[in-house]
Amino acid sequence: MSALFPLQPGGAASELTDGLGPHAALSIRDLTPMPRFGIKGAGSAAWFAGQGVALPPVNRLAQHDDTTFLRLGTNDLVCLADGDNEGLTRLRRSWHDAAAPKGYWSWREESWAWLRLGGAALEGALQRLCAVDLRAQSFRQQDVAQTRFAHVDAVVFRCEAGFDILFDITLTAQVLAAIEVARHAAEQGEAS
Amino acid sequence: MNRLPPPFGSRIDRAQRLHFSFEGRKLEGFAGDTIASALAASGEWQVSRSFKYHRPRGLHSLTGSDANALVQVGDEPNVDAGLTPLRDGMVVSAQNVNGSLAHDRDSVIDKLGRFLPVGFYYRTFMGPTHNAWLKLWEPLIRRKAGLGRLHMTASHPHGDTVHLHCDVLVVGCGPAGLAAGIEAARSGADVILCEAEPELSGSLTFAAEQHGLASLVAEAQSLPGLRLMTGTVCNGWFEDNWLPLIRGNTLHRVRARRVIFATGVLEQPAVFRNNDLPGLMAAGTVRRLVRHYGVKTGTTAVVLAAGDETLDTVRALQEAGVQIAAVVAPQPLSATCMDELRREGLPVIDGRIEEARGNKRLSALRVGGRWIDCDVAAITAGYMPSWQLPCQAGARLVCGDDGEMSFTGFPPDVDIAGGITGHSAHEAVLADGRRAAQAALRALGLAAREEISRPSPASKPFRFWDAPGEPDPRGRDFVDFDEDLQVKDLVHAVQEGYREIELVKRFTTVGMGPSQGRHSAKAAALIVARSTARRLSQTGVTTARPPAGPEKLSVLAGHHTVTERRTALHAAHVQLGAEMRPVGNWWRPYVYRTGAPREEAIAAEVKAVREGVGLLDVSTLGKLEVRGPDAGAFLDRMYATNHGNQSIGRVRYALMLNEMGSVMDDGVVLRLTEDTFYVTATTGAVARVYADMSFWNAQWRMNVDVLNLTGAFCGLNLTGPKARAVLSGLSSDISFEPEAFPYLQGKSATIAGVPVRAMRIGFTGELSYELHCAGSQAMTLYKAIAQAGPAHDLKPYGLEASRILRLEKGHILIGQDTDAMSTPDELGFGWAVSKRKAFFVGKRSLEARRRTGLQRKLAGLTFAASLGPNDMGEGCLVLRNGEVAGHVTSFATSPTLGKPIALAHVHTDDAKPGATVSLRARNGATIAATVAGHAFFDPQNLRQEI
Amino acid sequence: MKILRCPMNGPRNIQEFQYLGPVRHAPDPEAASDAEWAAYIFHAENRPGVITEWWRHTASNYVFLAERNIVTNTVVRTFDAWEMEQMR
Repeated sequence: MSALFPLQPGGAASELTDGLGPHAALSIRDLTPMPRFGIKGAGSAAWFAGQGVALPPVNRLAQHDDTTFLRLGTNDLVCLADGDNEGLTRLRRSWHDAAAPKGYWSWREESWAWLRLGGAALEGALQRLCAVDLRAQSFRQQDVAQTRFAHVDAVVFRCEAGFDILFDITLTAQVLAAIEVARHAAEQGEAS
Repeated sequence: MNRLPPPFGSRIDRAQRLHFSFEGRKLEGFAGDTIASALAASGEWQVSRSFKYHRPRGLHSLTGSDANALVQVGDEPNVDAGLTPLRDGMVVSAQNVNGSLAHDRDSVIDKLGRFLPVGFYYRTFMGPTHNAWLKLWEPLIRRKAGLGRLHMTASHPHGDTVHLHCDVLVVGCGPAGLAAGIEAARSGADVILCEAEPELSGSLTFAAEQHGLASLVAEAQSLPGLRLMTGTVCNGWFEDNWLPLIRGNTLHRVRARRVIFATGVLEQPAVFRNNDLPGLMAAGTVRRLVRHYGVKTGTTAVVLAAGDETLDTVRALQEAGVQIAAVVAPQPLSATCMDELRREGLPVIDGRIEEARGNKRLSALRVGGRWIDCDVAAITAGYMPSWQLPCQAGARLVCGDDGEMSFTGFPPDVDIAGGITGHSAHEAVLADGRRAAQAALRALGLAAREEISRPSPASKPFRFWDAPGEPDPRGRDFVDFDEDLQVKDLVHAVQEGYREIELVKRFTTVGMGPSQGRHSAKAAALIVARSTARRLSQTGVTTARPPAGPEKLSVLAGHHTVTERRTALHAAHVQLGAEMRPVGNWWRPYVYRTGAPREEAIAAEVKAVREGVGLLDVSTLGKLEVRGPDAGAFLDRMYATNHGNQSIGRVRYALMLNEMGSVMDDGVVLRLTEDTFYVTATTGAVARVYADMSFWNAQWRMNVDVLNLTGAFCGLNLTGPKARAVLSGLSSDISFEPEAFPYLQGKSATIAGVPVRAMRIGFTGELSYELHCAGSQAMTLYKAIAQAGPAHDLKPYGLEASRILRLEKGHILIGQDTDAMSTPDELGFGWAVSKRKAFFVGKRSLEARRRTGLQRKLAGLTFAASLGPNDMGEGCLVLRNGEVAGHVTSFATSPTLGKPIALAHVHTDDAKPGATVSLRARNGATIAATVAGHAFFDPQNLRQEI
Repeated sequence: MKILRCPMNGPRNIQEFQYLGPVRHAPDPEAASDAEWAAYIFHAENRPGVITEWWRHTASNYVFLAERNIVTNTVVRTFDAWEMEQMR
């Protein structure tokens, strides 16, 4: 069973992949194919807690064993890993094997594209893409913002390399084009 | 050349010569010049023609306080020469000119002025015919009036939009703004200092006395928490301290916790006959030209005195070698000022300037009946606080009868500081800046110091030094240069019955030009007060609204972003030659091009579905999962149709109403398990359906979870008589035979290795399988089907073929064939509405509406004549006894039936098969149509259920 | 642009929200006359003062309530729908 995501060869936005990679000013990494899953609805938080995961408060994230846990609502949780991750696989398996109530599968691995932005022009680009104050003094290391980013609804949070963005996978081409515009403007214009 | 030697010209770099042209003449300037200063240095004192009378106009304020300096630069109209830096190679021309700037053929309008009173347009251009305005007068007036020339082919740079946040935004970087910004940043606040000019220090940059401000500037430049934005215009104030800061083509949207406006004062022109002649300029302009740009402004000057600042103007003129013929003092000057002027041996004349004369340039001024020769006049009739931004923020400008002004009613997070409050003494201005910063810091919790009381300003800083008098009998005493309005125009407006200042503004357009009243509001208010026998404190000035100054739409618009959702199969469609079109937010294949004309290609796709098998990407369909113990009960409340009693594996039509009982959406519901339902919604409505479900459940609090899977899942519709044959050729864990998988059944299956939710439903009326799977798997499934296809003549088909196929079958599209009033009964869907449920959204309203009866019904129509899309289509009216009974909602020529078919709202009495209705065709002719049954094709539904 | 403080996501530009109208109490559909029902559907009170209304933060699909003075457009407070249920 081979999966195909928008920015992979033959994918829906594959003609835009020129912009990906370790660009000097603003690097864009496509993490869409990376493992993740989410559950939401009644019982989700209790199930995770039962697995020994110390859950962060709403709109914060927590990290355990290379897995990032995002809390998007009282009963809306997502875990992600930017590489193969045994803990995540184990959690997923035990969820499938578990009996209700355990929340409901939220298909985050299919519904979201996942981009990682970094580089010297990052701050200038973020100022152009998002109206929320994402500077270090206002947006902390483990904060999660559910907001508008590049004109679409998105989940935004910090990572070591810069920022991670999760958004509707069918909007990949549009968001990438908007990031390109912001990258160009951030390089041209002075970072204010 | 009128250039003075250094040290004059603090802003220009004489080592860098810039070449430009004005009105075709080749001129030179220096780096650091504005267009206006370079023109003045080249002796070009006339820069434009006025808006209405085409009078010659020169530089007045250099600060955007008047429209005189608006010029055309290349393709771009309305460039303010006073604010725009000169660039090498600029092609500058005057605006509003018929012929040349020097010889404007329309300057004759000036002579006809008395036949053109205000309100003239409203009354005169009504005839001779009822639409003469549109056909005759408007085009004529548009050629004569207006600002600049719009080049339809000009390219416009994309605006850049940047979001900024700060603790304190200080607008204006004169001494008060600098002091405020530094004080705030020193205490750890995150500060933005915004300054329209290219350098800091405001009016001190063109004053003789610098007050050691260099050290403040140096500190501002070195403080880490201080962001300096020079050359940046703050063009408005919006709710919750949201301010647009515009620099070039970049719009900074700033969200500030506190705002301090330190925007200073506006010099006001004096009102007398011919007060608009080139050579008459604001005193500040004289000082700026001399000190910033090293431009000698003339040979002989008259200075209109308004307070102690007059001395600095006199000094600038003297230093530049301009002879001062007289200082005219309408009000007694201070003893210090008088002593100084006497010491210099300057003649001081008590009185007003009564009139100016000159041919395209000032040559003399009349004072006390005596003409004084001069070619430049430095005019200040008084000052006004720059009221617009604070008033936009909610403050109120209070006027005294002598012209004095102050603010009240500030919102708690907005303050003013410095000259705008009336302070002019340097130390007082600095102290006021620090006070405003301290107040902001305290509110932000960054300082705990005692409140510093606001020092009281000098006495009456904004009173009139030279108030406008009675209208000059010969006119040309301009109150508003932008709009060419004279004193008598305002007086006439009052005589017409417009007493209130806001009404006078709308009748005369005073203050509605590019400068938004910055040089006219105060004088206009006084004239209206006098003409209505009231006091200035009673009339007040007009409301200030954003934008404060002109701004470009391209800057406001930012970069044009097209919403573009792509399905997971996008690349496959493009590879197959699909003509992709935007449909709502999505890009969808409209038709797959084959080399044949488009209409033929569409017809071939329809034929393929009717006779073989077709494949349509339906991933754009709304897809929701509703799960939980209350899922069935929840759907029973949301939809008019029954779902709680639906058996597992069964697919049912679902019809959603709003509270008004109108049809909002439809789709199908597949019950996957006892407490899991898979629900489809129409492409355009799913976002709303999802929001509505979330909203209702916030009220109902049922134990249910709703997930929007629209982007996560793809859908493929395999349809046509050979659909089963195609699927049977794929590896699968289910049987597609009719007994095993009958019509309106749904199954979870694995097809070609891909987990699929398969449903037997049929929008086309043919044997159909709708296969839904996770987006990342869609291409695998698609390729497997495509590989199995050739043996069965499988053809991909696009959106247009899909629309025709459904129309042939009489299936409606919600939103296209329905409107906000459509009830299920009108659409023939009464059967779908549950009779057993105690509640569903829209039930009670539908019951009430059913009692009032139906006014119209949606019916199928066929036509005897052959009609194309230019003859008939959506929106064409259905007539009954000459009255409108409804309209066509869908129309196509059916390739299958070989005739035109339509859906239309018709009168209820006509909604019987065989009835005849008349329609108005696109060309106005009346065309007859016959009402058909529910479906045009296969009315017995034999094909989809096989 | 106005800021609205979402109980879950904090202060955000109002552009991020969908307005869902004032809280209205439906009469009993069985007992209400057509006129009473029509008044519930179509009649907007629009009385000056503080009203309670529904809002939705679109990015997080979070529906909540706000008390807003419709004369001054000042939001007095925002709160979760759970609190509304407690008040009933």
